Amino acid sequence: MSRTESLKRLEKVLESFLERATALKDERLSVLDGMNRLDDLTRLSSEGAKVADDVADWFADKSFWPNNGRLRDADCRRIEGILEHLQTNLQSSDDGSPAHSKVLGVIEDWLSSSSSDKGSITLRRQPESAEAPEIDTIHRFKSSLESLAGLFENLAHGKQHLMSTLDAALTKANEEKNTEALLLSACVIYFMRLDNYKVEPYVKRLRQAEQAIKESSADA
Amino acid sequence: MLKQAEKAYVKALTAVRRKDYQEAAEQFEKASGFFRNDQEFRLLSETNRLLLVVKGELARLEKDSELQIEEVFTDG
Repeated sequence: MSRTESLKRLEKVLESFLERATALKDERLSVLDGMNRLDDLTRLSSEGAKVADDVADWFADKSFWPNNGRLRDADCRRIEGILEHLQTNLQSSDDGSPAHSKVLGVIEDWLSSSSSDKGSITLRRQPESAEAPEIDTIHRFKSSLESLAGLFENLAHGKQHLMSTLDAALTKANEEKNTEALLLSACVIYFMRLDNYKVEPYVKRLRQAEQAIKESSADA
Repeated sequence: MLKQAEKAYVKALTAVRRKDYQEAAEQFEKASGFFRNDQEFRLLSETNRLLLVVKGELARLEKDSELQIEEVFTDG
């Protein structure tokens, strides 16, 4: 077996191990990621940012909740702690808008309900998203845009031209089978095309990366 | 409020789920001070690190073979 073949085999073993190890935590990760987002919003609010709409989205988005709609007591306590901070921040920056008051009301409801009621709040709100599935795609797209902005920052760091950033994004998409890098590459290519750059070689690499990702998903 | 290291660990694991191993490595690094004695954390972060090394080495070997092909063509 050649060195390359051995390394490819090792790469598959390691990827498979990481995938299985983290798949076991999918539901837990979803809850923790939801708490992370709430914590981020609370930190932003303490810096004076207007977050009422985002907090309303957080309450409406229950995709991170476990399937049975219940949270662990420890998670409820942590969320309560974050919401208490957020409530204080929002009260001190009250702009009198209906959205602001509504969010404060929802936070108040959460904090005053008992731990065992919190799951039922979730379940009562669930039909809203079931009747409007497009909200989920809107949220996913928004979150994807934020993530792409972060990836772009990383890849563009220290580069002199957008082409170098595109090259890095395409390499990342191809070598790491990274879907976000693929999306970012497509955006940059279209941007450059509108600016009359010759983008054909990049389009070719984009297709190759897309194919590599498809094959990688099929293998998995 | 949540600890930054805990948030970084969650971000690292979600990055692994997305197969964004470079981002995962950066987040594991941010969380490493707090979780350095956590065996599961070390196992996952070291596996991720090893995977990146393997991917880097594979990329290097593929580039080398491309260069060799070019040289063959140049020499006729």
